[in-house]
Amino acid sequence: MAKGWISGIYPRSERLIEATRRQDPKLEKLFEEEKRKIIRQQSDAGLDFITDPLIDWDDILRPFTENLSGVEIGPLDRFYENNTFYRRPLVLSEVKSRGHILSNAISNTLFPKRKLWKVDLLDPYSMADLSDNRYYRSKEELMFAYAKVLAKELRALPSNPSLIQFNAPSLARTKDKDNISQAKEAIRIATRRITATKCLHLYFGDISSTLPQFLDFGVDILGIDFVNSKLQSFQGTTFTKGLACGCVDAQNTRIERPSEIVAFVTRAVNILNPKSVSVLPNTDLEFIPQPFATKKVRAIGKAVRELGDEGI
Amino acid sequence: MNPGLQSQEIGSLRKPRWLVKTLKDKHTSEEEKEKARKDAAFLNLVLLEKAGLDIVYDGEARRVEMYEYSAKRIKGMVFSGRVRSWDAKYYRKARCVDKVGYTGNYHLDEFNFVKDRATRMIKVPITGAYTIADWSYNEAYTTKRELALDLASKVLRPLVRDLVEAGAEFIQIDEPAATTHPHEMKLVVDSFNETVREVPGVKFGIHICYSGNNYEALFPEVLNMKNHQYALEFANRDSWELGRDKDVRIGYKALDMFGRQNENKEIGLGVVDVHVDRVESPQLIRDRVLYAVDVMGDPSLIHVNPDCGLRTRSREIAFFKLSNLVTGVQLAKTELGLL
Repeated sequence: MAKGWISGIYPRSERLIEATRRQDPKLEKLFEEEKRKIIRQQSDAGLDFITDPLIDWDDILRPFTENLSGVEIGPLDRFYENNTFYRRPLVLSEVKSRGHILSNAISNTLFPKRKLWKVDLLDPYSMADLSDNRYYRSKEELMFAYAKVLAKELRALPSNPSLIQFNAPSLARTKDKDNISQAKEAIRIATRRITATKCLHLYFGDISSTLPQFLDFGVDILGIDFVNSKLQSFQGTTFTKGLACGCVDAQNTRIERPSEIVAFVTRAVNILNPKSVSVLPNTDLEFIPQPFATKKVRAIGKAVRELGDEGI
Repeated sequence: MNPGLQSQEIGSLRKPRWLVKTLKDKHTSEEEKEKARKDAAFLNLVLLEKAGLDIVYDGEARRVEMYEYSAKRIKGMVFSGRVRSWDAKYYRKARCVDKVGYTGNYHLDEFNFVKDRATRMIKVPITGAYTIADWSYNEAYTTKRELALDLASKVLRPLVRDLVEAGAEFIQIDEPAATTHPHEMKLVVDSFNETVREVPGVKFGIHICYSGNNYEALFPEVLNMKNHQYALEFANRDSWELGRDKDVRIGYKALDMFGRQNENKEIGLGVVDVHVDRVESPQLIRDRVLYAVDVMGDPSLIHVNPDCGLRTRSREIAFFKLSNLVTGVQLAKTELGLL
């Protein structure tokens, strides 16, 4: 049966934007209230895995940039090809964690008790690619250091998520076979002794030429950003994983009709014949204002139910 | 005859606190707000002329922000809400929900105001079609290309024509998004050329900034751009040491690419970092300018400006930075025997 979920950072409401701008003393409480609301929306929409909307993260790396030893907060840098910026981590000495960064940064106590939940992280390759490495001999060495940190962080989570999603924008954009091969090893290190379902979501790049190399990664599901990769280009591919179908455009306010999503996913299933299929936005929804993100969440939920009715 | 080494402003100055307060006050009439905008525009003009710049405007006193001001005045665009730029900084982003259209010269009042008061040459900054397309959600066109080219031909070109008819002689098209998507460089160039098509007798510049410092992405497509000047940021990447050697002027490495093309187009050389309060000395400005003259091989191809608008700095710091810029240019001219 098709499943549905969302990924990464969710947009803040106008009320919360104002509160963060004026550094409201009640900010912590406001974050919690809004997280509860967004989690409820995911649940009400019928999404299968609930995720922390991460609205208190200033960028997708920030909890690590602020809390890893060996790392300092660097200058603003463009986040891929977006008009959005992040603080580049400056790696100045050995990267270490005590294993509490993720558990402190995720509000899993807010999740409904009977719902499955997921964790979102950048993959080690993307983390290294987005960092300013001034300590390790190479980007690969830094990537493996990050992989060990992520393994420790994931094992230290107080309860077990059912799904771990590695978001891998830099990996989606590289065409370098060696990079991809080393990134596979980094994912293996990061997920050692982890029993949850593992998803590698490849967004912000066209992976039509590199997909075969991702098929032997140690993950159960591969996510494809179908805004940047054309479905037709995968015709004839032998796909051996579950498919996370990133066909809802998280960077445009046009709201997809559930029937459109259903039609797209059906075509994707026919072309790739995946072991399982799930529906999600192509990337984090923080690139559109919250009212539009909420509509997209509902559209995903409806589409997943319709797909179920059609036996997908 | 272009004398070269002219000093010019690039864009916005920080709005005075009283202006922001007046504009936000719900009890202030629109007439009073307009008076306040005019006061601020006049103060900006005086500040820029007093600093000694050769080419001036009004510090964009009337514009809320370069994108929002333009997008609000384009038919087919509606605002959707705010999205994050970084941390707790957000910007309003528009949706293009219908084919775009021109609603009239939305810079006419500010242009006429400056024209009637300026004692120096005027340069009008306008936000370019590509950047408006890139920073908006596209719900009305099948492709971004269609949206950008429609913006260029149906909105920006009429705007440019109306500004020229009103007397504009130098127009700077701001395209901060230009190198964000390196594979779309042809669209950047095509939309620029569509904007300036069949508008003769006007000097056109393009201002590109903070696009990942990726000027390599401009080539070779940019060689087809029908502009007369590239106004670019460099200073924020440069060292603060005095000197005119390549290993000191590290921030100006990309200038080599422009020098090699022999395009005979001007460089608007960014010599002032707009993101730090530290004020560049006239000697540092001089060395940056002389280095650029050496690379380009002709002082008439170099004009001198801050990296970008100085709205990020206090008005006092902005004034000191611009004053030193002008003094530094004078020092460079003296060494070159141009004074």
